[in-house]
Amino acid sequence: MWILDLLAILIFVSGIVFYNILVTKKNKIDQAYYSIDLMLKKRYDLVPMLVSTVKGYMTHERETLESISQLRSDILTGNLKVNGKVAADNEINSGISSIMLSAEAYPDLKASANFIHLQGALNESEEQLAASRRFLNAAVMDYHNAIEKFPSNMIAGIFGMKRRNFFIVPEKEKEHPVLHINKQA
Amino acid sequence: MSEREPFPSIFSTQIKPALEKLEPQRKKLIKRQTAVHLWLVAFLTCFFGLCFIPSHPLPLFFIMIFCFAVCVWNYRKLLEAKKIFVKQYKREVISQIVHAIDPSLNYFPGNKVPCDYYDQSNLYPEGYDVYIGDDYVEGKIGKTIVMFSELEVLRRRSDVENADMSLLFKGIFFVADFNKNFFGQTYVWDKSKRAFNFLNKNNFPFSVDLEKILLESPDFTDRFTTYSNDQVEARYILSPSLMERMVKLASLWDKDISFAFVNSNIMIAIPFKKDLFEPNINNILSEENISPYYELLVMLVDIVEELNLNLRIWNRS
Repeated sequence: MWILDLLAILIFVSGIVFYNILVTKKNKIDQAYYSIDLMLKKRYDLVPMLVSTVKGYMTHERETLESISQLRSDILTGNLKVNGKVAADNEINSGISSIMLSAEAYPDLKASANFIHLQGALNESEEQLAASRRFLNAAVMDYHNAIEKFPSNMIAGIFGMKRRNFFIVPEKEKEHPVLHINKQA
Repeated sequence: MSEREPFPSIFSTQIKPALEKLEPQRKKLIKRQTAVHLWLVAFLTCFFGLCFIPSHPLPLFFIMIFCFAVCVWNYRKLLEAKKIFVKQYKREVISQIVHAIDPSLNYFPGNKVPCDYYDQSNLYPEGYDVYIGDDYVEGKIGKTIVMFSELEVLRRRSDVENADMSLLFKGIFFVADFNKNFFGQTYVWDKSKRAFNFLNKNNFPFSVDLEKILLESPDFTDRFTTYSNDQVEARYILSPSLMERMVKLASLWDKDISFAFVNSNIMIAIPFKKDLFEPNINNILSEENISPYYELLVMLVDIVEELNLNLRIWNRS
Protein backbone atom coordinates (compact mmCIF):
# COMPACT_ATOMS: atom_id res chain seq x y z
CA MET A 1 0.00 0.00 0.00
CA TRP A 2 2.80 2.43 0.96
CA ILE A 3 4.33 1.87 -2.50
CA LEU A 4 1.17 3.27 -4.09
CA ASP A 5 1.29 6.27 -1.70
CA LEU A 6 4.94 6.86 -2.58
CA LEU A 7 4.13 6.61 -6.29
CA ALA A 8 1.29 9.12 -5.92
CA ILE A 9 3.56 11.57 -4.05
CA LEU A 10 6.26 11.10 -6.72
CA ILE A 11 3.80 11.79 -9.54
CA PHE A 12 2.44 14.86 -7.72
CA VAL A 13 5.92 16.30 -7.07
CA SER A 14 7.01 15.60 -10.67
CA GLY A 15 3.83 17.32 -11.85
CA ILE A 16 4.71 20.44 -9.85
CA VAL A 17 8.29 20.41 -11.15
CA PHE A 18 7.23 20.03 -14.80
CA TYR A 19 4.52 22.66 -14.40
CA ASN A 20 7.05 25.15 -13.00
CA ILE A 21 9.47 24.42 -15.84
CA LEU A 22 6.72 25.04 -18.39
CA VAL A 23 5.66 28.28 -16.71
CA THR A 24 9.28 29.50 -16.68
CA LYS A 25 9.59 28.78 -20.40
CA LYS A 26 6.27 30.48 -21.12
CA ASN A 27 7.33 33.55 -19.16
CA LYS A 28 10.56 33.66 -21.11
CA ILE A 29 8.49 34.15 -24.27
CA ASP A 30 6.69 37.07 -22.62
CA GLN A 31 10.06 38.47 -21.59
CA ALA A 32 11.19 38.22 -25.23
CA TYR A 33 8.04 40.08 -26.39
CA TYR A 34 8.73 42.82 -23.84
CA SER A 35 12.31 43.12 -25.05
CA ILE A 36 11.05 43.48 -28.65
CA ASP A 37 8.67 46.23 -27.52
CA LEU A 38 11.52 47.94 -25.71
CA MET A 39 13.77 47.81 -28.76
CA LEU A 40 10.97 49.12 -30.98
CA LYS A 41 10.44 51.99 -28.53
CA LYS A 42 14.17 52.76 -28.73
CA ARG A 43 13.89 52.78 -32.50
CA TYR A 44 10.87 55.06 -32.48
CA ASP A 45 12.71 57.48 -30.18
CA LEU A 46 15.17 57.98 -33.01
CA VAL A 47 12.45 59.20 -35.38
CA PRO A 48 12.31 62.85 -34.14
CA MET A 49 16.11 62.99 -34.32
CA LEU A 50 16.03 61.55 -37.83
CA VAL A 51 13.40 64.02 -38.97
CA SER A 52 15.19 67.05 -37.51
CA THR A 53 18.53 65.93 -39.00
CA VAL A 54 17.35 65.29 -42.54
CA LYS A 55 14.50 67.76 -43.06
CA GLY A 56 16.86 70.63 -43.92
CA TYR A 57 18.42 68.57 -46.71
CA MET A 58 15.61 66.37 -48.03
CA THR A 59 13.10 68.45 -49.85
CA HIS A 60 11.56 65.65 -51.91
CA GLU A 61 10.90 63.31 -48.97
CA ARG A 62 8.87 65.74 -46.83
CA GLU A 63 5.78 63.54 -47.14
CA THR A 64 7.61 60.42 -45.86
CA LEU A 65 9.04 62.39 -42.94
CA GLU A 66 5.63 63.69 -41.91
CA SER A 67 4.09 60.25 -42.24
CA ILE A 68 6.65 58.49 -40.00
CA SER A 69 6.37 61.28 -37.39
CA GLN A 70 2.59 60.79 -37.36
CA LEU A 71 2.92 56.98 -37.12
CA ARG A 72 5.33 57.30 -34.23
CA SER A 73 3.02 59.52 -32.24
CA ASP A 74 0.08 57.18 -32.97
CA ILE A 75 2.05 54.18 -31.73
CA LEU A 76 3.27 55.93 -28.60
CA THR A 77 -0.16 57.29 -27.67
CA GLY A 78 -1.60 53.80 -28.13
CA ASN A 79 -4.27 54.92 -30.58
CA LEU A 80 -3.79 51.84 -32.74
CA LYS A 81 -5.36 48.38 -32.50
CA VAL A 82 -3.04 45.33 -32.44
CA ASN A 83 -3.18 44.75 -36.22
CA GLY A 84 -2.81 48.45 -36.76
CA LYS A 85 0.28 48.48 -34.55
CA VAL A 86 1.99 45.72 -36.55
CA ALA A 87 1.19 47.55 -39.80
CA ALA A 88 2.42 50.84 -38.31
CA ASP A 89 5.66 49.12 -37.17
CA ASN A 90 6.26 47.87 -40.69
CA GLU A 91 5.35 51.23 -42.18
CA ILE A 92 7.68 53.14 -39.86
CA ASN A 93 10.54 50.72 -40.54
CA SER A 94 10.13 50.96 -44.27
CA GLY A 95 9.89 54.77 -43.96
CA ILE A 96 13.19 54.89 -42.02
CA SER A 97 14.86 52.54 -44.54
CA SER A 98 13.66 54.61 -47.47
CA ILE A 99 14.97 57.84 -45.88
CA MET A 100 18.33 56.23 -45.18
CA LEU A 101 18.54 55.00 -48.78
CA SER A 102 17.52 58.40 -50.17
CA ALA A 103 20.30 60.01 -48.12
CA GLU A 104 22.76 58.55 -50.64
CA ALA A 105 21.71 61.34 -52.99
CA TYR A 106 22.63 64.11 -50.50
CA PRO A 107 26.43 64.18 -49.99
CA ASP A 108 26.26 67.09 -47.51
CA LEU A 109 23.80 65.18 -45.35
CA LYS A 110 25.86 61.98 -45.53
CA ALA A 111 28.93 63.85 -44.34
CA SER A 112 27.25 65.60 -41.41
CA ALA A 113 28.29 64.43 -37.94
CA ASN A 114 24.68 64.23 -36.76
CA PHE A 115 23.71 61.96 -39.63
CA ILE A 116 26.71 59.66 -39.11
CA HIS A 117 25.80 59.36 -35.41
CA LEU A 118 22.18 58.72 -36.32
CA GLN A 119 23.15 56.06 -38.83
CA GLY A 120 25.17 54.33 -36.09
CA ALA A 121 22.26 54.55 -33.64
CA LEU A 122 19.83 53.15 -36.23
CA ASN A 123 22.15 50.27 -37.10
CA GLU A 124 22.56 49.58 -33.39
CA SER A 125 18.81 49.58 -32.77
CA GLU A 126 18.26 47.39 -35.84
CA GLU A 127 20.80 44.84 -34.55
CA GLN A 128 19.30 44.94 -31.04
CA LEU A 129 15.84 44.42 -32.47
CA ALA A 130 17.12 41.46 -34.48
CA ALA A 131 18.71 40.07 -31.29
CA SER A 132 15.39 40.38 -29.43
CA ARG A 133 13.57 38.58 -32.23
CA ARG A 134 16.17 35.82 -32.19
CA PHE A 135 15.68 35.56 -28.42
CA LEU A 136 11.91 35.27 -28.99
CA ASN A 137 12.37 32.48 -31.52
CA ALA A 138 14.79 30.62 -29.24
CA ALA A 139 12.35 30.96 -26.32
CA VAL A 140 9.41 29.79 -28.45
CA MET A 141 11.39 26.79 -29.73
CA ASP A 142 12.41 25.85 -26.19
CA TYR A 143 8.79 26.13 -25.04
CA HIS A 144 7.51 24.06 -27.97
CA ASN A 145 10.05 21.35 -27.20
CA ALA A 146 8.83 21.28 -23.61
CA ILE A 147 5.10 21.14 -24.38
CA GLU A 148 5.56 18.40 -26.97
CA LYS A 149 8.02 16.13 -25.20
CA PHE A 150 6.97 13.37 -22.83
CA PRO A 151 6.09 13.65 -19.92
CA SER A 152 5.81 17.46 -19.81
CA ASN A 153 3.33 17.31 -22.73
CA MET A 154 0.78 15.76 -20.31
CA ILE A 155 1.08 18.71 -17.89
CA ALA A 156 0.88 21.14 -20.84
CA GLY A 157 -2.28 19.34 -22.00
CA ILE A 158 -3.92 19.48 -18.55
CA PHE A 159 -3.24 23.22 -18.18
CA GLY A 160 -4.09 24.05 -21.80
CA MET A 161 -0.67 25.35 -22.74
CA LYS A 162 -0.72 25.97 -26.49
CA ARG A 163 1.90 26.61 -29.16
CA ARG A 164 3.01 30.25 -29.54
CA ASN A 165 4.00 32.05 -32.70
CA PHE A 166 7.56 32.40 -33.94
CA PHE A 167 8.63 35.76 -35.25
CA ILE A 168 8.43 35.57 -39.04
CA VAL A 169 10.04 38.21 -41.21
CA PRO A 170 7.30 40.08 -43.12
CA GLU A 171 7.29 39.33 -46.87
CA LYS A 172 7.96 43.01 -47.59
CA GLU A 173 11.19 42.95 -45.54
CA LYS A 174 12.43 39.84 -47.41
CA GLU A 175 12.53 41.81 -50.66
CA HIS A 176 15.85 43.29 -51.71
CA PRO A 177 15.87 47.05 -51.14
CA VAL A 178 15.84 49.07 -54.33
CA LEU A 179 17.67 52.35 -54.27
CA HIS A 180 15.84 55.24 -55.96
CA ILE A 181 18.13 58.23 -56.15
CA ASN A 182 16.38 61.56 -56.44
CA LYS A 183 18.43 63.96 -58.46
CA GLN A 184 18.85 67.25 -56.67
CA ALA A 185 17.38 70.24 -58.39
CA MET B 1 43.39 46.25 -45.06
CA SER B 2 46.47 47.33 -46.99
CA GLU B 3 48.42 44.66 -48.80
CA ARG B 4 51.09 43.17 -46.53
CA GLU B 5 54.68 42.91 -47.73
CA PRO B 6 55.65 39.24 -48.28
CA PHE B 7 57.88 37.73 -45.62
CA PRO B 8 60.92 37.00 -47.86
CA SER B 9 61.17 40.69 -48.72
CA ILE B 10 60.72 41.75 -45.04
CA PHE B 11 63.36 39.21 -44.11
CA SER B 12 65.94 40.40 -46.61
CA THR B 13 65.47 44.12 -45.97
CA GLN B 14 64.75 44.37 -42.24
CA ILE B 15 65.49 41.16 -40.38
CA LYS B 16 68.59 39.77 -42.11
CA PRO B 17 70.89 42.66 -41.08
CA ALA B 18 69.85 42.18 -37.42
CA LEU B 19 70.36 38.42 -37.66
CA GLU B 20 73.84 38.91 -39.13
CA LYS B 21 74.76 40.83 -35.98
CA LEU B 22 73.27 38.11 -33.77
CA GLU B 23 74.71 35.07 -35.54
CA PRO B 24 78.29 35.42 -34.06
CA GLN B 25 76.69 35.69 -30.62
CA ARG B 26 74.66 32.54 -31.23
CA LYS B 27 77.83 30.71 -32.35
CA LYS B 28 79.58 31.80 -29.15
CA LEU B 29 76.64 30.42 -27.18
CA ILE B 30 76.90 27.09 -29.00
CA LYS B 31 80.62 26.98 -28.13
CA ARG B 32 79.85 27.72 -24.49
CA GLN B 33 77.16 25.04 -24.52
CA THR B 34 79.61 22.52 -25.99
CA ALA B 35 82.12 23.47 -23.29
CA VAL B 36 79.50 22.80 -20.59
CA HIS B 37 78.80 19.38 -22.10
CA LEU B 38 82.50 18.49 -22.35
CA TRP B 39 83.26 19.52 -18.76
CA LEU B 40 80.23 17.56 -17.63
CA VAL B 41 81.49 14.46 -19.45
CA ALA B 42 84.94 14.99 -17.87
CA PHE B 43 83.34 15.29 -14.42
CA LEU B 44 81.29 12.12 -14.90
CA THR B 45 84.33 10.20 -16.20
CA CYS B 46 86.27 11.17 -13.04
CA PHE B 47 83.28 10.30 -10.86
CA PHE B 48 82.88 6.81 -12.33
CA GLY B 49 86.68 6.39 -12.32
CA LEU B 50 86.69 7.03 -8.57
CA CYS B 51 83.82 4.60 -8.11
CA PHE B 52 85.49 1.78 -10.06
CA ILE B 53 89.17 2.22 -9.10
CA PRO B 54 89.51 0.48 -5.72
CA SER B 55 92.41 2.69 -4.51
CA HIS B 56 90.31 5.94 -5.04
CA PRO B 57 93.35 8.07 -6.12
CA LEU B 58 93.28 11.52 -4.47
CA PRO B 59 94.50 13.45 -7.62
CA LEU B 60 91.52 12.07 -9.54
CA PHE B 61 89.25 13.39 -6.82
CA PHE B 62 90.74 16.89 -7.18
CA ILE B 63 90.43 16.70 -10.96
CA MET B 64 86.77 15.75 -10.54
CA ILE B 65 86.16 18.74 -8.26
CA PHE B 66 87.95 20.98 -10.76
CA CYS B 67 85.85 19.64 -13.67
CA PHE B 68 82.68 20.18 -11.69
CA ALA B 69 83.60 23.77 -10.78
CA VAL B 70 84.52 24.66 -14.37
CA CYS B 71 81.30 23.04 -15.61
CA VAL B 72 79.17 25.06 -13.17
CA TRP B 73 81.07 28.28 -14.01
CA ASN B 74 80.56 27.69 -17.75
CA TYR B 75 76.89 26.87 -17.20
CA ARG B 76 76.30 30.11 -15.32
CA LYS B 77 78.11 32.06 -18.03
CA LEU B 78 75.97 30.27 -20.62
CA LEU B 79 72.75 31.28 -18.83
CA GLU B 80 73.89 34.91 -18.56
CA ALA B 81 74.89 35.04 -22.23
CA LYS B 82 71.69 33.33 -23.27
CA LYS B 83 69.63 35.89 -21.37
CA ILE B 84 71.43 38.76 -23.14
CA PHE B 85 71.04 36.98 -26.49
CA VAL B 86 67.29 36.42 -26.03
CA LYS B 87 66.82 40.04 -24.98
CA GLN B 88 68.72 41.31 -27.99
CA TYR B 89 66.97 38.84 -30.31
CA LYS B 90 63.54 40.05 -29.19
CA ARG B 91 64.57 43.70 -29.43
CA GLU B 92 66.16 43.34 -32.87
CA VAL B 93 64.13 40.58 -34.56
CA ILE B 94 60.64 40.20 -33.02
CA SER B 95 60.28 43.96 -32.75
CA GLN B 96 61.16 44.33 -36.46
CA ILE B 97 58.64 41.62 -37.40
CA VAL B 98 55.88 43.34 -35.37
CA HIS B 99 56.60 46.69 -37.04
CA ALA B 100 56.73 45.08 -40.48
CA ILE B 101 53.28 43.53 -39.95
CA ASP B 102 51.72 46.80 -38.79
CA PRO B 103 53.76 49.95 -38.09
CA SER B 104 51.19 51.17 -35.57
CA LEU B 105 51.91 48.23 -33.26
CA ASN B 106 54.40 48.50 -30.40
CA TYR B 107 56.28 45.58 -28.91
CA PHE B 108 57.46 45.37 -25.29
CA PRO B 109 59.35 42.11 -24.68
CA GLY B 110 59.20 42.30 -20.87
CA ASN B 111 55.59 43.41 -20.44
CA LYS B 112 52.32 41.50 -20.36
CA VAL B 113 48.58 42.13 -20.61
CA PRO B 114 47.58 43.79 -17.30
CA CYS B 115 46.04 41.30 -14.90
CA ASP B 116 42.87 43.45 -14.68
CA TYR B 117 41.86 42.25 -18.14
CA TYR B 118 42.57 38.64 -17.25
CA ASP B 119 40.49 39.02 -14.06
CA GLN B 120 37.63 40.73 -15.90
CA SER B 121 37.53 38.01 -18.54
CA ASN B 122 36.59 35.34 -15.95
CA LEU B 123 37.68 32.73 -18.49
CA TYR B 124 39.78 31.03 -15.80
CA PRO B 125 37.95 32.10 -12.65
CA GLU B 126 39.72 29.70 -10.30
CA GLY B 127 41.93 32.37 -8.68
CA TYR B 128 45.70 32.41 -9.07
CA ASP B 129 48.92 32.91 -7.11
CA VAL B 130 51.36 33.62 -9.93
CA TYR B 131 50.67 35.79 -12.98
CA ILE B 132 53.63 36.10 -15.34
CA GLY B 133 54.02 36.88 -18.99
CA ASP B 134 56.07 38.57 -21.68
CA ASP B 135 56.08 39.57 -25.35
CA TYR B 136 53.42 42.25 -25.07
CA VAL B 137 52.11 43.86 -28.25
CA GLU B 138 49.73 46.81 -28.27
CA GLY B 139 48.44 49.29 -30.80
CA LYS B 140 45.61 50.13 -33.13
CA ILE B 141 44.78 47.92 -36.09
CA GLY B 142 42.55 50.00 -38.32
CA LYS B 143 39.94 51.34 -35.88
CA THR B 144 40.44 48.64 -33.26
CA ILE B 145 42.66 48.96 -30.20
CA VAL B 146 44.35 45.64 -29.46
CA MET B 147 46.78 44.18 -26.97
CA PHE B 148 48.09 40.67 -26.52
CA SER B 149 50.90 38.84 -24.79
CA GLU B 150 52.02 35.46 -23.64
CA LEU B 151 50.75 34.58 -20.17
CA GLU B 152 51.44 31.88 -17.66
CA VAL B 153 49.03 31.74 -14.74
CA LEU B 154 49.63 29.35 -11.86
CA ARG B 155 47.86 28.39 -8.70
CA ARG B 156 49.24 26.80 -5.55
CA ARG B 157 47.56 23.50 -4.95
CA SER B 158 45.58 23.73 -1.74
CA ASP B 159 45.14 19.98 -1.27
CA VAL B 160 48.85 19.19 -0.82
CA GLU B 161 51.18 21.08 1.51
CA ASN B 162 54.37 22.46 -0.13
CA ALA B 163 53.12 21.16 -3.43
CA ASP B 164 54.11 22.47 -6.86
CA MET B 165 52.05 25.04 -8.64
CA SER B 166 49.32 23.84 -10.95
CA LEU B 167 48.99 25.52 -14.33
CA LEU B 168 45.72 27.38 -14.96
CA PHE B 169 46.52 28.97 -18.29
CA LYS B 170 49.51 29.17 -20.59
CA GLY B 171 49.28 30.75 -23.99
CA ILE B 172 48.28 33.93 -25.73
CA PHE B 173 45.80 36.31 -24.14
CA PHE B 174 44.29 38.71 -26.68
CA VAL B 175 42.20 41.81 -25.87
CA ALA B 176 40.50 44.13 -28.37
CA ASP B 177 37.85 46.78 -28.07
CA PHE B 178 34.66 45.43 -29.59
CA ASN B 179 32.75 47.23 -32.31
CA LYS B 180 29.49 47.34 -30.33
CA ASN B 181 28.65 48.73 -26.91
CA PHE B 182 27.44 46.30 -24.28
CA PHE B 183 27.07 46.23 -20.52
CA GLY B 184 26.56 42.57 -19.60
CA GLN B 185 28.87 39.59 -19.63
CA THR B 186 28.91 36.89 -22.26
CA TYR B 187 31.25 33.90 -22.27
CA VAL B 188 31.91 31.48 -25.09
CA TRP B 189 33.83 28.37 -24.08
CA ASP B 190 35.16 25.65 -26.25
CA LYS B 191 32.96 22.64 -25.48
CA SER B 192 35.82 20.20 -25.03
CA LYS B 193 37.42 22.40 -22.36
CA ARG B 194 34.47 23.15 -20.12
CA ALA B 195 32.04 20.33 -20.76
CA PHE B 196 33.20 18.12 -17.95
CA ASN B 197 34.30 20.50 -15.20
CA PHE B 198 31.61 23.09 -15.66
CA LEU B 199 29.55 21.86 -12.75
CA ASN B 200 32.46 22.33 -10.40
CA LYS B 201 31.59 25.53 -8.52
CA ASN B 202 35.26 26.43 -8.10
CA ASN B 203 35.58 26.61 -11.85
CA PHE B 204 32.83 29.06 -12.47
CA PRO B 205 31.78 32.50 -11.23
CA PHE B 206 28.40 31.57 -9.82
CA SER B 207 28.12 34.99 -8.20
CA VAL B 208 27.23 36.20 -11.68
CA ASP B 209 23.71 35.38 -12.75
CA LEU B 210 24.50 33.50 -15.95
CA GLU B 211 22.16 31.57 -18.21
CA LYS B 212 22.96 29.16 -20.99
CA ILE B 213 22.25 30.76 -24.36
CA LEU B 214 20.68 28.63 -27.08
CA LEU B 215 21.95 29.89 -30.40
CA GLU B 216 20.82 29.04 -33.91
CA SER B 217 24.07 28.19 -35.67
CA PRO B 218 24.65 24.39 -35.51
CA ASP B 219 28.38 24.73 -36.31
CA PHE B 220 28.77 27.22 -33.48
CA THR B 221 26.83 25.21 -30.89
CA ASP B 222 28.73 22.04 -31.87
CA ARG B 223 31.98 23.77 -31.00
CA PHE B 224 31.13 26.26 -28.24
CA THR B 225 28.99 26.65 -25.12
CA THR B 226 27.67 30.15 -24.47
CA TYR B 227 26.65 31.68 -21.14
CA SER B 228 25.49 35.23 -20.51
CA ASN B 229 23.62 37.36 -18.00
CA ASP B 230 21.58 38.98 -20.79
CA GLN B 231 19.79 36.86 -23.41
CA VAL B 232 19.21 39.76 -25.81
CA GLU B 233 22.65 41.31 -25.45
CA ALA B 234 24.34 37.94 -26.03
CA ARG B 235 22.53 37.69 -29.35
CA TYR B 236 23.30 41.32 -30.13
CA ILE B 237 27.01 40.54 -29.70
CA LEU B 238 26.90 37.10 -31.31
CA SER B 239 25.39 38.02 -34.63
CA PRO B 240 25.12 35.16 -37.17
CA SER B 241 28.12 36.52 -39.09
CA LEU B 242 30.28 36.80 -35.94
CA MET B 243 29.39 33.22 -34.93
CA GLU B 244 30.47 32.01 -38.35
CA ARG B 245 33.73 33.96 -38.06
CA MET B 246 34.43 32.60 -34.57
CA VAL B 247 34.02 29.02 -35.79
CA LYS B 248 36.37 29.78 -38.69
CA LEU B 249 38.90 31.35 -36.30
CA ALA B 250 38.80 28.34 -33.96
CA SER B 251 39.34 25.96 -36.91
CA LEU B 252 42.21 28.11 -38.18
CA TRP B 253 44.03 28.02 -34.84
CA ASP B 254 43.00 24.44 -34.10
CA LYS B 255 43.03 25.18 -30.36
CA ASP B 256 40.46 25.21 -27.55
CA ILE B 257 39.82 28.92 -27.82
CA SER B 258 37.61 30.70 -25.28
CA PHE B 259 36.06 34.15 -25.69
CA ALA B 260 34.79 36.65 -23.12
CA PHE B 261 32.76 39.73 -23.97
CA VAL B 262 33.01 42.08 -21.00
CA ASN B 263 33.06 45.92 -20.69
CA SER B 264 32.70 46.36 -24.46
CA ASN B 265 35.93 44.37 -24.96
CA ILE B 266 36.50 41.01 -26.54
CA MET B 267 39.07 38.83 -24.76
CA ILE B 268 40.38 35.65 -26.28
CA ALA B 269 42.43 32.95 -24.55
CA ILE B 270 44.44 30.72 -26.89
CA PRO B 271 46.25 27.98 -25.00
CA PHE B 272 49.77 26.90 -26.02
CA LYS B 273 52.09 24.43 -24.35
CA LYS B 274 55.43 26.09 -25.24
CA ASP B 275 56.98 29.56 -25.10
CA LEU B 276 56.24 31.10 -28.45
CA PHE B 277 58.73 33.88 -29.06
CA GLU B 278 61.90 32.40 -27.50
CA PRO B 279 64.72 31.66 -29.99
CA ASN B 280 66.25 28.20 -30.14
CA ILE B 281 70.01 28.76 -30.02
CA ASN B 282 70.65 25.41 -31.69
CA ASN B 283 68.86 26.53 -34.84
CA ILE B 284 70.66 28.66 -37.35
CA LEU B 285 69.07 32.13 -37.65
CA SER B 286 67.68 31.63 -41.15
CA GLU B 287 64.55 32.75 -42.99
CA GLU B 288 63.10 29.27 -42.58
CA ASN B 289 63.50 29.35 -38.79
CA ILE B 290 62.26 32.91 -38.35
CA SER B 291 59.12 32.61 -40.51
CA PRO B 292 57.06 30.69 -37.83
CA TYR B 293 57.32 33.77 -35.54
CA TYR B 294 56.10 35.95 -38.39
CA GLU B 295 53.22 33.60 -39.20
CA LEU B 296 52.13 33.45 -35.56
CA LEU B 297 52.14 37.23 -35.22
CA VAL B 298 50.25 37.64 -38.49
CA MET B 299 47.60 35.18 -37.26
CA LEU B 300 47.22 37.19 -34.04
CA VAL B 301 46.98 40.53 -35.81
CA ASP B 302 44.55 39.07 -38.35
CA ILE B 303 42.07 38.16 -35.57
CA VAL B 304 40.79 41.73 -35.99
CA GLU B 305 40.09 41.12 -39.68
CA GLU B 306 38.82 37.58 -39.13
CA LEU B 307 36.22 38.82 -36.63
CA ASN B 308 35.55 41.98 -38.68
CA LEU B 309 36.15 44.20 -35.64
CA ASN B 310 36.97 47.19 -37.84
CA LEU B 311 33.38 47.34 -39.05
CA ARG B 312 32.24 50.35 -37.03
CA ILE B 313 28.73 50.97 -38.29
CA TRP B 314 27.34 51.06 -34.76
CA ASN B 315 27.80 53.95 -32.36
CA ARG B 316 31.28 52.98 -31.30
CA SER B 317 33.99 54.68 -33.28
